[in-house]
Amino acid sequence: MAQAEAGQSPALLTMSRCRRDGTLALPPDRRGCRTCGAVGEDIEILEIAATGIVLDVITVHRPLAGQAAPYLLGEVRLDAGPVVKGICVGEVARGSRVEGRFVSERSQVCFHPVSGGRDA
Amino acid sequence: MRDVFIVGAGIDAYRPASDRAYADIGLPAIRMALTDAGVAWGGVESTFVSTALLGVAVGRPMLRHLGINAAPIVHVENASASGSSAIGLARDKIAAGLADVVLVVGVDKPAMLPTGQELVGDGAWPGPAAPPIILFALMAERLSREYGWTREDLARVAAKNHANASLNPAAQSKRPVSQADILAAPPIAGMLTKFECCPVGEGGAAVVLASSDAIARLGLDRDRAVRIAASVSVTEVHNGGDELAEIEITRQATDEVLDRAGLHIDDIDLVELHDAFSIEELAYLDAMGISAPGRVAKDARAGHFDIGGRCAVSASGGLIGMGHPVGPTGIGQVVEMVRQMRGEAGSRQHTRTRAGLVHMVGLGAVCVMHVLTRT
Ligand SMILES: [Zn+2]
Repeated sequence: MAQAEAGQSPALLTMSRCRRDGTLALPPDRRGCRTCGAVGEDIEILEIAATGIVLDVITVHRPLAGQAAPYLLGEVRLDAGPVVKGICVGEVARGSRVEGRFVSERSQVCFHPVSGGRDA
Repeated sequence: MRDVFIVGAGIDAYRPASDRAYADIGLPAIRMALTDAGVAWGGVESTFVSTALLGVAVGRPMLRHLGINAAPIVHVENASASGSSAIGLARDKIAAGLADVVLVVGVDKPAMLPTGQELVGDGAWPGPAAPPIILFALMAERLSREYGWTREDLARVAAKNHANASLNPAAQSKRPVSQADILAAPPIAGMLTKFECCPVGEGGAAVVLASSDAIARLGLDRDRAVRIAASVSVTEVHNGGDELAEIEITRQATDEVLDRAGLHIDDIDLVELHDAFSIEELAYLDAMGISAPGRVAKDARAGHFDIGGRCAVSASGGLIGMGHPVGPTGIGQVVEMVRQMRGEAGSRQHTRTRAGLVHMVGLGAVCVMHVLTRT
C-alpha cells in the first residue's frame, strides 16, 4: 500500500465553480463550463480540502494502473460536492469519513480515515 | 425516410491477437457478407470502415484487394460503439436516399492507444488511473447493495454468455465456464473475476445494407433481409446527480429506439447487449425495462434470458463470451441478430426472433442502439 507523509493535513485540490449556474468541476472546467459553456471570468477557481465520505470501497487484487496489489479503491463524495475515486489506506468502509493526503513520492492523493478531525 | 435492410452478414472469428495482418482478418468477413447478400463489390456505393485501434487510413489497403471501386470510404471511430455507429451512418445514408447499397466492415487488432480524456490535459484528479474493470467493480458494489444482486447473480450472467459462446464458431471463448467455476475464481477487482470480463482480441465483421429499391433491382433475396426499424445514439450529459451515466443513456436510448420503431420492450425477442463486464448485463436489462422493476435478477435465475427463454440475451455469447475486438463488435452483434432472425444460428438458435434490440456503450459515454425486425 502507498504510504502517506505523516502529519500532513488534508490535500488542497483545485476545482471550478461556474458563476452563472453554480456547476462544480474537478478537475476545473478552465476550458468552459460543462453545463452552460461559460468561459473566462465566469469560471471561478477554488481551492478545496480533500475531505469527504466514502460511498463505496472495493479491494483491487491485481496490480492495475501501476499500483501494487492488493489495495483499496474508494469512491468518495468530497464535502465540496464532486465524487472522486482514490486509493484508501487503513480501516475504510462505506460511510467512513476520510481525508485525502498527498503521497510523498508522487502527486497522488490517498484517503485516510479520520474521526472528529484527527486520525482514527 | 426510406426503409433500410441488412441483406448480407459475414464474420471472421474473434480470437486472441496473432501475427495475422488486419487485412487478412477483414477481407474474409467482407467476402462472406457480399456472398451472403449476393452483391458484387462493384455494386457497393459506399463503405464505412469501423476501427478504433489500428491506425490511419486502414480501409483502402484492405479494400483494394476486392477490385476497382471508386465509391467513398469513410473510417468511423466511436470507441466500443464504433461498429454500431458505422451501421447507424450507413443506415442514415440509405434512408436519406443518398445510396442504395452500403458496406459496413469492422476490423481491429489489440493495441493500447491513449483516450481523449488522457490526452486532453485538463489536469486529472490526482488519483490513480481507473481502468474500466475498476469502474465496473465499483458499479457492481453499488448495485448489489441497492438492488440486492449477488455474486451468484453476476456469475450466472457470465456462465450463460460463456455457454452461448461455446455454441458460436465465431466466438473467442470456446469453453463453457460454469457458475461454480466463476465463483471459485479469484476476484480481480471487487467481486469481478476474469470470467466476468470480456476478452479483447482481433476480429472482423461485415454487413451489407440495401434499400428496398436495390433489393428489387439486384434481385436480392427479400425473405432473408432483416429491416433496421430504428437506430439511435445518445450521448452522456453531466447532470450533477448520482445517476450512473452508462445506465442512464441506455434507458434513454431504449425509450427512443423503441418509440421510433413503434414497438414496446415486451415485443423484443432477443437482445444483443454490451456486457464488457457481467454487472453491465443486469444493469442495462433493468434500465431497458425488460423485467418488472426489481425483478431482473429473479428473471435471470428463472432462465428468462437464456436461449429459448422469453427474451434471449446475447445468444452470440456477448462481449464476455464472443469477445470484444472493439471496431467489429457492434457489427458482430448485428451479424448474430441477422442469423438468428433468419433461423441460421445453428445449435444456438433462439426459438423465434421477430424483433431484436442491439445495444452498445462506448467510452464518452455514448449508447448506440438499433431495433431489427423481420416479418
Ligand atoms: Zn455554467
